[in-house]
Amino acid sequence: MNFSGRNDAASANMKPIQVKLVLLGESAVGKSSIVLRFVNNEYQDNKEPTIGAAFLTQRCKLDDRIIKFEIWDTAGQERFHSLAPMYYRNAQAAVIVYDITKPASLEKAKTWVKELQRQANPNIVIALVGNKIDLANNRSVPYEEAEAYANENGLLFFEASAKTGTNIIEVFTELAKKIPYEQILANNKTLNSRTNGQGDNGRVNLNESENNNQDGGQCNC
Amino acid sequence: MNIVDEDLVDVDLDDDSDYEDANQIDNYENINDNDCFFEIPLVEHSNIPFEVKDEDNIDYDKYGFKKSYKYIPKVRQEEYENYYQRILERREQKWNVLLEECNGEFPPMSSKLKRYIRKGIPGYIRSLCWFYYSGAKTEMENNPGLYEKLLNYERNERNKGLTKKDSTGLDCVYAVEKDLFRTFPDNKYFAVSESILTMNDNEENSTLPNKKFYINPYIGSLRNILVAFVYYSLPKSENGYEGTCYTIGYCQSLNYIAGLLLLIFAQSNEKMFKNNPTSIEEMCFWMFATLIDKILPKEMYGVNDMEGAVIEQELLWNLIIDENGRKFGVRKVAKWKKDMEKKNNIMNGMDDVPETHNLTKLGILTFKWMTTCFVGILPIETVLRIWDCVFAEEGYITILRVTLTLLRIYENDISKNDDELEGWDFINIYGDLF
Repeated sequence: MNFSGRNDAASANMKPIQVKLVLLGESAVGKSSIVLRFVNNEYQDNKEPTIGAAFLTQRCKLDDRIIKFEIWDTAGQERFHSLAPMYYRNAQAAVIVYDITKPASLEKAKTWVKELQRQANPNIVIALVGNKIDLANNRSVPYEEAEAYANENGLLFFEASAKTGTNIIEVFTELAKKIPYEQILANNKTLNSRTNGQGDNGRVNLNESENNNQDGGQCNC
Repeated sequence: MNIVDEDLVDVDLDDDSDYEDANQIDNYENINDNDCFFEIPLVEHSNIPFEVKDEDNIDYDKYGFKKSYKYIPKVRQEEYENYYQRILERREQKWNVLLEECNGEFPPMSSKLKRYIRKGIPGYIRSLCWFYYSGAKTEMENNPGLYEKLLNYERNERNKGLTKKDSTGLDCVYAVEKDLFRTFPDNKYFAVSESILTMNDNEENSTLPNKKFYINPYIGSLRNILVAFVYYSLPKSENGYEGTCYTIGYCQSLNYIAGLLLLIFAQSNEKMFKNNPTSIEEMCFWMFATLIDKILPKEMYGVNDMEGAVIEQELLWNLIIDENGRKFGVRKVAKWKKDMEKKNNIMNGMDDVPETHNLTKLGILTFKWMTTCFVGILPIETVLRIWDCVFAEEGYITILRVTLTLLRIYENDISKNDDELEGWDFINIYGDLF
């Protein structure tokens, strides 16, 4: 993936494709740090806990496309869980993070995978990321174990470190490669025609359902 | 290939462009990301060198927070500080006169006192003023010894050989511990050295809390306040004291509130904090408990999915939209919000999503404002002025007023954005400017 310079005239004229991405995982596994590294190439020790959620964007270039990642970085604590569906409901990509020094965080990651498989967009591309490999001395989740789980469930898998930057860009690059763009484009087209076709959006829906009823041929008489 | 309407608005953060050096450009781009791309060095399995921090060049404010000149240049901040300092001195004189009139006692509430509080309580007397007028002092006097007793709950559980797996209390304590070093890491009083951070975790099966949390006195006191509150707010069935009629234990964002209370109380009673930290902790604990029990809406932080906080946002935004913002002077925000919602629902095919599962995105922003009581959202001095009103005067309504005021101040800028997320992003970044 190319992070294009600002003077790249050809690509500056292109409209980016919006990709909604959500980060999920237990508290303090490094979700915000991963985003901070990806978006600003920064790292901060003891990153403050995220309250509710944070929203960030990052543009990048993949082949001949400009992708604009719209990233929802969520809060990890269990009681913020009820807010999560709002972020993943329409996401095209998810990064589920665990901490390689905390086995319980992989268990939590697995419950997120299950929830997404059950309730998210069926085409969502999911990456499982074991963060904090800079602390490999304290590792308590073997690479092979998490990798096997990821393979079984059709997830991309990485071990990474937001602190050193290892594999962070790779996570987003591999996700970006697997997004079904044609589908997004097609969806946007139909939505655009829906929203622009007639002046009043509310009315469009009403008319549509009326038309459907009539087409159904259920006569009142 | 024109898929996305990219007609974003240029946000002009500051007219001063002379300090726009290489480092500033990225920050600007954060805000104006309409026509350029971030330049990110491609990292391939190599270590990124850490930013070299020149400790000598870091300025701290009087509360020990690192100053940031990211958005507002140093010169202008200093100008403002000088100006504000003069106001502070005048307020202090006025308060001194008021207190002398009352023979050094706190006067009963009056319209004059209310005005004085709204104009800011002087720093030297702020903590005592909050303590007295919020009712925390009375609570503490009515419950002698309870604070220490609550702290013993943890020790008892550990002595019984319980771990976080078999005790809700210890599980909450573990969640508290995760956030201790992550509370104000940029504040010089809360900062800890690398050697403390890398100390072993030995969290399981230990009869005593890990000593790494007690090397820095601020972190130790913060731990005690939050742990006492864990047991205070757990029901008896979970070995708690049952001091609240709902279950909280620990919720992220409470660390910021307890942390700032501790900072203010310890700073204005420095000697006492050094000699007898428990007495300062106890006052902070009762401030904290009073805020959550008596001042903020019920269930704001509850284990029940923070239902109270979510409902507050729904109420707030429904009120804004129903009245078309007229009542609160935020018409543009209301109209914009409605348009965005319509657009979002159509874009996302969410017409059938029930309201309760659809806390709006701006709702998430105000959610954060309310649950943190603005700590970390607004500059510290502003937060303290808001807390003056919350604790000493009118309570929770102040938080709603501030929320509406922020939306109103920036409604032109907010409503220029043609995507709710851009608007969200915008306000979020603007948060650093207030």
